[in-house]
Amino acid sequence: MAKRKILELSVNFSKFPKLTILFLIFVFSITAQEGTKPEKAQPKADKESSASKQKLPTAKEILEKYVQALGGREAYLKIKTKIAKGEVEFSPLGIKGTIESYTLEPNKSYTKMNLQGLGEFIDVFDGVNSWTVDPITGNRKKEGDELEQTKIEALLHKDIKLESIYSGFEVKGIEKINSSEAYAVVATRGKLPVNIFYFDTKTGLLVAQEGTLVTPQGKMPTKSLISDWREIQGVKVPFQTMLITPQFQMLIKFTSVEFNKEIDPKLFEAPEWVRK
Amino acid sequence: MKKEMRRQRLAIFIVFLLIFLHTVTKAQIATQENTSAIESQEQELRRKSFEKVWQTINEKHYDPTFGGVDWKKIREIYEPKAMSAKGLKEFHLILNQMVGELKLSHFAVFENNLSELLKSSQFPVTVNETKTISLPTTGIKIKTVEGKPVISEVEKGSNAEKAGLKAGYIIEAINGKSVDELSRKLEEHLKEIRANDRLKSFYVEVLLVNLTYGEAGTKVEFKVLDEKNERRVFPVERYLKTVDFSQPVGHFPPQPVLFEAKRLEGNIGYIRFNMWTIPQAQNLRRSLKDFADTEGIIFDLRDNPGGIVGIALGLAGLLTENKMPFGKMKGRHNELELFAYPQPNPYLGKVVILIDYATGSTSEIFSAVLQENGRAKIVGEQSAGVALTSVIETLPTGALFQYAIMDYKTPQNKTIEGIGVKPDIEVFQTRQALLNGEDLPLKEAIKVINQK
Repeated sequence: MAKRKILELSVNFSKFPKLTILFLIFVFSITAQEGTKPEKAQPKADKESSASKQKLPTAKEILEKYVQALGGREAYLKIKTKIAKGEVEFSPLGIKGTIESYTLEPNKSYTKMNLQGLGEFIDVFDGVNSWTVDPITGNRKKEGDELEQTKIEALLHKDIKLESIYSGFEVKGIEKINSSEAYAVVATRGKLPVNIFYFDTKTGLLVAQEGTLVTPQGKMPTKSLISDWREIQGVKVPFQTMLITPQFQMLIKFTSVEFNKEIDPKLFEAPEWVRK
Repeated sequence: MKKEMRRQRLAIFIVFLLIFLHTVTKAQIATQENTSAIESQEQELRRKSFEKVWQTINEKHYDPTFGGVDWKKIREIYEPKAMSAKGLKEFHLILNQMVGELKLSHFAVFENNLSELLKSSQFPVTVNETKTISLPTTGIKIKTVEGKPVISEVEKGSNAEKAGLKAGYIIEAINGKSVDELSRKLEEHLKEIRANDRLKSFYVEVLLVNLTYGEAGTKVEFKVLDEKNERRVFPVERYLKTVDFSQPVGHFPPQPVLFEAKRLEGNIGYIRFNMWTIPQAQNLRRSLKDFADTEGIIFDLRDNPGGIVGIALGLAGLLTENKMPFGKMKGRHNELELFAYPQPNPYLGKVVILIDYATGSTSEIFSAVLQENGRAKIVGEQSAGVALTSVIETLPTGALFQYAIMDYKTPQNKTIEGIGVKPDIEVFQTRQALLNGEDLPLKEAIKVINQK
C-alpha cells in the first residue's frame, strides 16, 4: 500500500509543468558548438579485413585516383563558385533545419544554418578573417588553430589539392566503412591534429573522414561518413554527410548543388567588430 | 471520477499512439481479437522503450561506473516490473524509478509530452498562431519560507487578489488537501531519491502548485493562516491568462516566456526571467543595452530552473571585456572546456545575482561562473544543486526521456550537482517580510550595488 502511494505521488510529479521545467534543462549546450570525440564503433572498422593482406597502393596513387574519381583536375578547376543547399538534422536532439553554403574561389566561404526554434547560425571566412554569428552564445572571431583549420576547410578546390595541403601521408591499411572497403590514409599538417581519410578501394571516392575539430571549447575529434556522390557538370559531389560525435550526430543532406552561379561578394564582408 | 477520466484520456492517447506508429485502423480496434493485438503492440512498444532507456544510460552515461550502481543488476530488477506494469502510466513510472536509482538530476521519463499537454483537461491550453497560450491560473505564487508553504506573490488584478489573498499567508490546505498530510506522504519518496532539504522545499511547492491547476471558471479553495495567524478559507476562481511560449527545439517542448526588466530606485537595473529559452536571449541583450547607464544590474534567478546553457554563455559575454572561463563538461569519452567570449559593448557595471533553493542548473552554472570570475556577487540562499548536461529523446511509447550526458565542473573545478552554489551573502526571505511587502534578499542586493 505504501508503495502504491509513492507511485501515485511520482505520477503526479511527472504531471507538474514546473518540475518538468526543472528537469528539462541544459539541453542544447552542444548544438551550437557541434561535436566531440567519436566512438570508434561508428563507422565499424574492420582492420582484419581479408583485403588488408593485399599490397597497398601509395598515398600518391590513392589521392590521384580520388582526383580522377571526382572528375579530374581540368573539370574541377573550372569550378569558380559553389552553392549548396539542403537540410540538416541533429540527433538524438531532434533539431531540424536548413543549411546553405556559398564558396568562392579560392577560399571564401559562407555557411548559414537555420535551426527550428534556435535561429540562424552563420560561419564566414573572407580569405583572411573568420567569424561566427550565433543567436545564442553571441558573435566570435576565430583565432589560432581554429582559424588555420578554417583556412583549409574554406578552399574550394581542397579535394584535388590534398597532396599540397598536407605535409605528410601514410597509408595505414584497409578498413571496412559500412559495406565497402576503404584505404585509410593518415594526413598530417604542421601542429594541426591528424586527419584520416578513407577512400573507397573500388570507386576511389572519399567515404569517411576522421579528424579533430578545433573549437573554442578545445579539440574535438569527429568522424564523418560521406555518401550519395552525384555528378554535377562533370564533377562528383557528395550530397550526404553524417558527422558523428560521442553525444550527437549531424546529418546534412544537400538537395541542390550548383557551380559557377554568381555569389554576392557582400556575403563575405567582415563586419566592423571583426575588422577591429 | 477524476481518475476515471484520466484513464480514459490515457486510453485515447494510447490508441492515438498506436494509430500513429502502427497504422491501426478503427475497424481493427473494434474487434475483440484485435484488442489482444493492440496489447501485444503495446508490449512491443514497452519492450523497445525499456531497452532504449536502459541501453542509452548503459552506453552514454558520463560516468562508466554509474556512481557505484550495478546497472546490469538494475535491469534484472526493473525489467520484469516494467513489462508487467498495469498500463503505460505505471510503465513510465517504473522507468522513472529505474533511472532514479542513479540518484542524479536530469534523468527522467515524462509522460506529458506536448500532444498530451495540449489535450489534457488538467492543464488545458489553446495554442494560436502567435505562439500564445491561455493558461488557467489563480494568480498566486507559492514558496517555502521558514519551512512553511507561503504565498509569495499575488498578481495585481488577479482573482486571488480580488478574493483577498495576500503575500505571507501560510497555506494549510488546497481543495481540502492538507499540506501536512501531503508533506508526510512526500517524505518517503524524498528519502528514496535522497533529495536535499532545498529540493524538498521545491517538491512541496510544486505539489501545491499542481493542486491549483484546473479548468478556467472552476474554483480553488485555499485554507490559510492570515497575518493574524487566524484560519481563513478563500475560494478563488481560476481564470485564463495569456502567456507567450517559446518554440519547441527538437524534443524540448515549448516553455512559457516570462521576462521582467525595470529600473529600481537609485538607477539600478533589475532583470527577472523564468527560464533560459531562446526568446530570452534577445530580451537579455535588449535590456542590457537599455541599462547601459545604470549603477548596477541585479539578475533575479530565484525560481529559475535553468534551460539552454548557451544563452548563459552569451549573457556572460555581454558582461565581460575578456574571455571568461565557463567551466568544464566531461562526458564518458571527451571533455569540453567552455568560455564566454566578450561581445561588442559589454555591460561593465556592478552585477548581483539573486538565487534560492529553486535556482537550478544553467542558472546555477551562470551564478557560479560569474562568482568565481569575480564578476558578480551572489545574494540569497544556496541553490538546488542540479547541474548536468542532458538531452531529451522520444521513446517508442511517446514519452520523453531525458538523460544526462555530461558532468559539469565550475572554472575552479567545483561540482554543483548535489551541492548547489553558496551565496557570497546569505539572506533568507521571511514570512513577516512578505506580509510587510518586503523582499529581504533584493534589499541586500541593492545594498551591494550601492556600496562604494
